[in-house]
Amino acid sequence: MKAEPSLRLVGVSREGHACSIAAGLSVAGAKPLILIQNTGMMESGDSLRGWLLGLNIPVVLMVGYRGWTRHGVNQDTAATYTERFLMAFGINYYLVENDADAPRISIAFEEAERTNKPVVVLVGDEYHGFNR
Amino acid sequence: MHTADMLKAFAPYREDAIVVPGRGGRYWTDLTTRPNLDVPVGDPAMGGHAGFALGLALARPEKRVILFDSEGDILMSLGMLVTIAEQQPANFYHFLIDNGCYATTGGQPVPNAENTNYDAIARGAGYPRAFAFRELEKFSAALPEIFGKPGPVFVAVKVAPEIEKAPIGRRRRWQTRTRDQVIKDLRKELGVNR
Repeated sequence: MKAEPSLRLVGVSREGHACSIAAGLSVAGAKPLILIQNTGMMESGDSLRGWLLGLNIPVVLMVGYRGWTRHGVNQDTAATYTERFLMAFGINYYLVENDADAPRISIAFEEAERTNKPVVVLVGDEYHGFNR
Repeated sequence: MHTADMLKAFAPYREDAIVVPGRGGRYWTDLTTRPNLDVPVGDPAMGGHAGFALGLALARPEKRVILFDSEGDILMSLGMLVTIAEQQPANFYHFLIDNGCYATTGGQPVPNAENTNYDAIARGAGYPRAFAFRELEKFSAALPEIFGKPGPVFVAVKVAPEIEKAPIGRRRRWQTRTRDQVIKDLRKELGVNR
């Protein structure tokens, strides 16, 4: 990402920081994208509320879905609470598990722009990168 | 030093900068001459003003962005200083209004308020320039130097606490615009079409 000239990477040490930075970027005319994990998303609750929902920021959050499994018993509370958390905040989300789901990412971007709200893409294969 | 006096001293140096007044907003509203370049968004979520101002600065590198942060906010987001230092926004001027307490919730003391050197923390995080002031005269005298060089720069200013004890609903309503209107006005001023 650092090598891609059309992107500017802003590293953060806590995921809530990404929310306020994205709000500033969007207000002043840039187009932010937030890349975090579900654990950090839950840590960011107040920033999501105040900076993204409160200021009507159209932004997509690509969220690594730690613990997600379709084929067994979930043993990670990060996964247990991820979708409950998003429902509590009224944030819409799309699950992406493989390359065939990629169009959902475009849908998330369109929805964020149309509704002036944050929209989440849950990446249900955060370690394999769809290359299993 | 009182916050209002500090902001009065700063006002002549504002020019056409974007100002995020943070918790100085209730004083800045009486001093500003470019309200449509002010971003008084209130307190969307504590600890986020520096990130918000950084976002503005990165999106508009040609425009100076001046933030009046608080020590309570900074303590909630110390890691943000490292992010700002890494980004090195030359247009970013980071002022800290340090009143040593949580003024809007009754004046509870900020931890270790009298012994924390925020300028040293900023310098340690990687800010190339950092200052600290307790006296209005010294602060005022340093402003040409502060604005005479590129950012990022950090300026910690110790001020007298002005504690709001009236119930929130009975406090003076200094904000005359909604958050949506503030953002709309700023975007219009910056030529951002949304």
